[in-house]
Amino acid sequence: MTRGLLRYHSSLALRSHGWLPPLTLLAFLLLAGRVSAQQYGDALGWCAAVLVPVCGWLTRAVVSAEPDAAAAVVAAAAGARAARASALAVGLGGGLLLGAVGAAFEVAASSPPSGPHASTGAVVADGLVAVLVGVLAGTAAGALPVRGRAAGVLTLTAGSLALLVASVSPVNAAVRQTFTSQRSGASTSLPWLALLEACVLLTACAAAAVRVERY
Amino acid sequence: MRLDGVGKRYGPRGPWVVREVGVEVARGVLVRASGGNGSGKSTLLRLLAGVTRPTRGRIVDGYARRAYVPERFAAELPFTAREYLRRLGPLHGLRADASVSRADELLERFGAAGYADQPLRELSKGSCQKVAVAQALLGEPELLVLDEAWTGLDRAARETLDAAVLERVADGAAVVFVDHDPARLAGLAEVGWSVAEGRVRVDEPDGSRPRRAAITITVHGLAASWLGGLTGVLEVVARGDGSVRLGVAAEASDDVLRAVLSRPGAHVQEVRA
Repeated sequence: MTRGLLRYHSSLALRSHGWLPPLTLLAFLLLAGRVSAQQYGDALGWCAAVLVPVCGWLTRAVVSAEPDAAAAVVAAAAGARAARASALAVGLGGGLLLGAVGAAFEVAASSPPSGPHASTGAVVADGLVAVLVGVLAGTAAGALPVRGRAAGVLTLTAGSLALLVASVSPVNAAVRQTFTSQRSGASTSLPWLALLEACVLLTACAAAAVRVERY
Repeated sequence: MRLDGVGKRYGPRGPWVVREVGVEVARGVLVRASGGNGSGKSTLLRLLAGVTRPTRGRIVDGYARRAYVPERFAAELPFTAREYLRRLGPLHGLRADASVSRADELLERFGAAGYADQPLRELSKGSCQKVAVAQALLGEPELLVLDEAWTGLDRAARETLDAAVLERVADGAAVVFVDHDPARLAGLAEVGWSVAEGRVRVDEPDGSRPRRAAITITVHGLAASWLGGLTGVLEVVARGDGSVRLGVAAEASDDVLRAVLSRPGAHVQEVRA
């Protein structure tokens, strides 16, 4: 049943082309970031930040790809909450995929920091955890059950900004640490706390979203 | 399955659409729900199907395998009819290979095989409705909920759906339906619900109808829905080969046979006491 649901939602998401705009945004922002960020630390930090709105958008696109009547039919057969959870899981899976592509691009295109710095491996590892934090937090923002297109765009924009700017946000912490990780004498501990917080945030948002009926 | 003091409203300040409903939906029973527009019957059906949860009260001993046909199935889905049904099969508890064959079988049965490989969004409303109905019959649901499922279907498909409903009931499933046509499955629903202002009144069962079928008659060449309308017919089971098996009250068997034989194209295959 779970596999059937995931297959249904992923083929629905794939074919409805809702992933195309967020993917385009990601490509554009990653290329734009090349202008100033060319070293592992700031490149991966930029990528992590960019992934917040991108994954939020992707998750919203996946969830809203299904018309209400079709969702009702699936809810009767497989359970309403299981169906909503499956759509969110597909959104998260897509986000992880985009995160992997983005991180691979940044690693391939960037160079080690110039001057004295922590080991390159540590800087990259730091950046990869930050990318993961960006994906999880962005997916959480996209999962928020908001009705209507305009309200959805507004929530997502405000949510992404808050996640990036607020000093208590896990994304903000992870990105900050990634930016500074390439400086000499920076702490080389990975942003585990931020990752944990992002996981908690996503779990909370997804749990709320699964409970809210959209139709 | 039992609804226990079930109430529903959409949103904390919304009006109560369904209130204080306590009804039972037993296995092998056909239930007809009737009521005007805005009476709450569609929401009641959604509660039964598990599409929406009660705001108040609870549903006890709900059926695990459920299928639902919504009032309007706007198919803004990026699939062809066949692809859609194949993907829904596993959700109705079918294995992947069984989904494929069952989807083809139902498309054939509802006369939709000709456009099975066209995208759903290119199909007419009636053709989409056939797909919506077919998905509900993919598995063998213990509870089948039909909200105006016949609307938009052509005559042959309506009769096929009638037969499929009676088959499910004969198989021990509970079927709850709403239809604007009062003649729909007339005389076959054992229980009637009158829905008004979100409340349900259970109509008195028709006691004049004896419950036990004494004589089994197998007929070929007639529609199950027409046969079901004959006085004295207690059970109608449409079979895959186009024949229909009737359970008939003993005192009515002669009349039923006469009525059947007077129809052109009818062929009685078997009569068993």
